[in-house]
Amino acid sequence: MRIWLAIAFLLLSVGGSSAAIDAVNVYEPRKFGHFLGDTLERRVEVITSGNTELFTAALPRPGALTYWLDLISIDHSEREENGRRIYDITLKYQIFYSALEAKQLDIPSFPLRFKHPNSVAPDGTAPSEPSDASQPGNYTATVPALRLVISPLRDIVLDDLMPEKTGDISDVMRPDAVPQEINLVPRERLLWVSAGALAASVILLLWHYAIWPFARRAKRPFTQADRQIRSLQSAGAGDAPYRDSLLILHRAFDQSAGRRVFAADVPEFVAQHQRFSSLLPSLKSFFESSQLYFFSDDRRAAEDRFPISDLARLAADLAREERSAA
Amino acid sequence: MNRPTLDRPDTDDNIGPLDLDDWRSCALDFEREIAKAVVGQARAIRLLTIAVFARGHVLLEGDVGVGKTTLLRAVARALGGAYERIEGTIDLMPSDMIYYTFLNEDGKPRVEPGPVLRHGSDLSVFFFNEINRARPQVHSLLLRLMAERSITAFNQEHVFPYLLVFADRNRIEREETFELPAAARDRFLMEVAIATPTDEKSRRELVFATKFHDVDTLIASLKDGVLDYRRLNTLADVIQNTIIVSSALERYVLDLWKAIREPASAGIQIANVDITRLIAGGSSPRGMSYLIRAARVSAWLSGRDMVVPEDIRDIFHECMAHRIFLTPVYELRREEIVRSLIADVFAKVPAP
Repeated sequence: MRIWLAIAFLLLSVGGSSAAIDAVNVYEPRKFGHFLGDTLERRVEVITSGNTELFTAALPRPGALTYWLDLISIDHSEREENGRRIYDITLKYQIFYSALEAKQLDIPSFPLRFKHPNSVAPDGTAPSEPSDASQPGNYTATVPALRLVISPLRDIVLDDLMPEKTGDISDVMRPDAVPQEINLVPRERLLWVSAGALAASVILLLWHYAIWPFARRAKRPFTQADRQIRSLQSAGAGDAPYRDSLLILHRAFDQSAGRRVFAADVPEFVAQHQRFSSLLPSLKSFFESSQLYFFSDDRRAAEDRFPISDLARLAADLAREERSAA
Repeated sequence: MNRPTLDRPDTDDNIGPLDLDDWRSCALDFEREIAKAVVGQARAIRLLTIAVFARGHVLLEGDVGVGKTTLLRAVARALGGAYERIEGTIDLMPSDMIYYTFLNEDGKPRVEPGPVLRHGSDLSVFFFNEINRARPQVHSLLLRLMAERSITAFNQEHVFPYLLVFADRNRIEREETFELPAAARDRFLMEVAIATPTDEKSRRELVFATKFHDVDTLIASLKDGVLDYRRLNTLADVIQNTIIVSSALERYVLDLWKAIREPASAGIQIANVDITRLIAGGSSPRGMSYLIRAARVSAWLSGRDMVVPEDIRDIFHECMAHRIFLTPVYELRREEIVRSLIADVFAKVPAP
């Protein structure tokens, strides 16, 4: 609810010039019922004729005006209506006066300065000086003081206003708003998805580092060789069971040493794999007869010196030592 | 300078049956005799012995003053044939090896045979010192001498049936040297690296024993002609025809050859090397046949009548490393790369 006042000021006019301030309308807020923290808005409408221009640099700046009043914002605009230029100036205040009892306070009046561009330009002197108003080309409109009644924030006596209420605070206050229920379903779904992703990455990581479930069982080349040689024997004579058995055992040695093992490497191999040291004599005769078999023409002699039964026994012994060491 | 042994009957009426076992003990005597003069080089002596019995030429490589020349003089002395040496210099011309000219005491010009021709067909060891200081023209003459054991001079062909060429190359300097062409290197059976002995005993002996101070006396103290160099060609043929190379070993050597030529296909891996681009060429068929030739001798020296993979592995680096040609990017790291290449090939290629 706003009241408005129309205050017309007669202004000094420069002879011969058509420029003038025709009217100043001030739309004021209510004058009472203000509390600490309230904001209030004043609108000033200045109707001008001719080429009168608002001197915007002279407008008050937003900020604290006094200890109890802040100017929050000030806006101005201009429009044309019926060949007249109308300036709208909106001022927003906030009250910071903590009143203990109802009190009247004044917002003082202040001037609005205008200029006429066709006449002499405003000089550098401050436009707020009253003497400027009498100079040619300058016009001033005054926004009048506003007297406000500011009320204290106090308990109210309920008896008269709301006889049905007790003095209890819970009775006076409006009931608490019912809290809005947050939908948990998407978050639960996200939790399950990320738990699944975590489990998958843990499994991948274990696989990458070859930890427990993915740790390959220690290779047992001799156990495998033993198994292959036994199955070779039980399957009956192949093309060359002796040759195949020799090759199987050679590959087992290669795999165990990580490189190719020749007869000359046997002492070194045994030195590196101490658990086979008890088998050294038969290892040596194995390699010797393998040499005979593969690299001389005397295959029969090789088979006589180290028959296939000895070979199978050696493979079994090697496999046993390998398992007992593991 | 050694002279051919004169007090020995001519070879033609000395052809008896060749007993490989007797000859083997002779070969071991030969090694022992050389070892008296050259300390701490057991492996080099064994390799030279293999080369002597495989009738192959050897290129020695090593630092200065490690005993390359002494080793070769000892070998020549124990072989008993004539020994000649020539120093490779930048102004050495092929003709300098064949003849030299001078004015005699009557003031008349004379032409005398040079180091290669001086001993006629008795020349058993020709030692070319600092071969990489000689020019390519000299290298090409040497190539012919090595490949055909003959040269043409004074309008006639001179044949050296017992000739072994030993060359040495100093690997400290590179200034004013001519790198041996690949063809020349390929004609050497082995390239043997001679290093300073590392064991304390050999070092102490080399430095403090007075007998090593005078090389001439040292060489003269060796027994002359432990082997009869004139019978070695026949013996080499007998060895090559007697020692067995089985089909399994043939397969193995062919696999090795393939792995060296195409290391990527054999799964060879060397740190910081793009294995598919490593090999530019080399490991010639001649090289592989030389390898088998040397492996047979190695087996014979070990008292076996068959070649086993160990024989191949033992001499592979000396016989093959200088025949492997790397792409230029890797040539500077050659020594290290070739060593790991060969080691990995032997670790990966299965035998039998």
